[in-house]
Amino acid sequence: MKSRAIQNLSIRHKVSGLVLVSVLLALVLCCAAFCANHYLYAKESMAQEMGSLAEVLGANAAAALVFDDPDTAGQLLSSLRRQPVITSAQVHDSDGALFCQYSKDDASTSSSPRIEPGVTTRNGELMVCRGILDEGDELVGYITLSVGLDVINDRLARYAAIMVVVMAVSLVLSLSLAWPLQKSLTGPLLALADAAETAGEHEDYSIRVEQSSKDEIGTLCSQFNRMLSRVEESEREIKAAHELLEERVEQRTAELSRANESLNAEISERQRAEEELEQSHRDLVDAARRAGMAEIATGVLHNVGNVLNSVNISASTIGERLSNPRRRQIDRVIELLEANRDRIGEYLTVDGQGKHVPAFLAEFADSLAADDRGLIDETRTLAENIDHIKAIIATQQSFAGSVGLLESLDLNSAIEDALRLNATSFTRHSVAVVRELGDLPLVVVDKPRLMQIVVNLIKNAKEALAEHESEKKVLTLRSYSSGDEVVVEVADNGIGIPAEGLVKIFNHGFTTKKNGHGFGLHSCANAARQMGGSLTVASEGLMRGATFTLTLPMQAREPAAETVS
Amino acid sequence: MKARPGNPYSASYAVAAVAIGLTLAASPVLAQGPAAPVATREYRIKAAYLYQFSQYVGWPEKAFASKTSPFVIGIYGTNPFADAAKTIAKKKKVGKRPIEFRVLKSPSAATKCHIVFVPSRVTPENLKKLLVLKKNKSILVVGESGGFIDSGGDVQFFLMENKVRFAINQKAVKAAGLPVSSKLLTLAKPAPPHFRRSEPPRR
Repeated sequence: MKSRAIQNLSIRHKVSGLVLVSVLLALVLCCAAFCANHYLYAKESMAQEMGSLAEVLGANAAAALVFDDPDTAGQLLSSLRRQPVITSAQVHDSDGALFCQYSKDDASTSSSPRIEPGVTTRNGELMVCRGILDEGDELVGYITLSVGLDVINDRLARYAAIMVVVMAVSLVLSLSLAWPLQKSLTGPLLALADAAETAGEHEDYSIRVEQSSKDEIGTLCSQFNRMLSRVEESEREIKAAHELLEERVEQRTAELSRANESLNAEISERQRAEEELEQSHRDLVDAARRAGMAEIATGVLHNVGNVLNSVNISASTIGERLSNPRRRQIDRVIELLEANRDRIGEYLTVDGQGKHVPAFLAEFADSLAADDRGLIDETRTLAENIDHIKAIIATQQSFAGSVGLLESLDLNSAIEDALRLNATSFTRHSVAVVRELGDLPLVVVDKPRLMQIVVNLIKNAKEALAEHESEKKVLTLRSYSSGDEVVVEVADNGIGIPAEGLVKIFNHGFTTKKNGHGFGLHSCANAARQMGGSLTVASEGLMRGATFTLTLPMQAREPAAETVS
Repeated sequence: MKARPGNPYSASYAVAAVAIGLTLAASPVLAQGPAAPVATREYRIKAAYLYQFSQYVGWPEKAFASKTSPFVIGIYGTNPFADAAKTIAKKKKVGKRPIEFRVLKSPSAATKCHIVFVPSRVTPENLKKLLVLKKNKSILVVGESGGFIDSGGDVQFFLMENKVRFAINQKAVKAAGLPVSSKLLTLAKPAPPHFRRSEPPRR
């Protein structure tokens, strides 16, 4: 952190700092050494001085010690009053007990214990202790003199003050003397820095630095100048290249926009063609439908005609039976009987003609019974034929609206056809189509129905994707066979279906679209059922896509019993 | 050394007295000392002082028989110093001369001594004889009886504030031709009045 701050200083400050630091360091070290030396020397000389004073005093105090006269010794110590440096003095006898003492401030310091002979520094005081010998050179006691080191410290403080003044003066002097030198050093460098800054800021590489000296800085300046001229040159080149490039880009852009226009024209052309194609396709489908219906009508009428033949025969037979000649003979018998009413018994038994009437009546009854039986048979045949016609008409009615023309086809190609119909809108909504089409056997199905379902599912998925604002819109078409069924899956990652919607999505009238009528999926599901298959849906929820699964039998099958209402 | 007559105290009491200190030692009864060869503190100090006087007073060479002859300290009459005198004699020297303590039976024996100590028990007659004998001789006569200086002695011991002090009769010392160190003179005190009477006070 600190070193970074130093690094960021300008060279001028660094040079000043160098001068300052070196001068200061030298001065401080010198002064410190001087002060230390002086301190030690002063202390030593003071110790010596005190030592001789202690010896003199001790010699004088020896007699007082020997004759146990502390008062006299005390008077002796009082003479130290003429030496204000000495703060206190003590005389101890040879056993170490305090004999007498002196204090500069007369504040009788509590009897301090005797210290070892020699020089001791304690509590900011220099203490000198000497043994006292009597006339017989025998140790009789000790004298201790204490000197405050304040004197030395005061002197040192004075030296320090002088040192500070000297330092300040020498700093000012060294800085003012170093100024021209520093200027000659930093001047060219600063000029160089200025030039570099100008060049960098204004991108003006035409400036040059004045080469004032022949030292390293001079070399630096000339190298900098050379570098600048190189930069200038290469910048010119870059500019030229840039202009050329711009020109080319402009050209290319113009070309592209031209191409784009022609492409647009082509696209609109193609759209028109597509619309025409669609129209003709619709017409064709209509025509086919009408043709189919005519064909069916012909077939049905042919069948009905056939049956009507039989009906006609039955009706003729009944008519013939009813015009039986015996029925007219009965009228003649009745007349005969009317004529012979008065003598009916005689007539029937006697008369030659009348005798045959009962036999005739019996024969007539037999013949009538046989006729009745034939009539009943014919009537039954007639009823059967009428039923047949009814059945033909009913069959035709069951196929009305969706003619079941079964054909064998490749399901994958049907899927491709359905995709092709929606291809343009995929690009418009930037939907990626993923095909995962498996190998499938040919399937016998009603192609228009199948196409109706697949196209509807793809259209639904595309709309679900268009409403979703996701970045990556993917439509996945999957086909595979499973057992005796083929499966087509249409999956998208679009807006998805909420859970409650899954239940009623195939219901008539259910829709999530603004312009929907809720019929598409309903009719798709019905169509799937009619083909013997099923249509199911799965979704993980809103905004999480949906998958529709169409399952069809490989062989055409009877439609499932119930249809979704 | 002889035991003093009429001493009612045993040796153990004397040891106790030494231990207790000057207060008891200063009492005249005890000052008389026990029969045991152990000196009281007072006489221990006095013995030491006698030796120290030899350090601060100069004797002319003619006072000694030869260069090796001893420095003689005479004790007149009875010896109250007991073992203290022996200890000093064993350990100390005056210059290069050994120290010899002698007990003087008669005043005339004092002429061969350099210092003569006169205990307080001395009779006025014997003291007078001694002082007469001393005249014009390099003998330092030290006493402890009241008025010892006034009667012509050189140095007189007395007790003050429980300490042994001494007074110096400078005239007598000068007459004896003994130079006394100024250091000793500064330590000398005038004897208090009750020590100046001819009879020692009963304290």
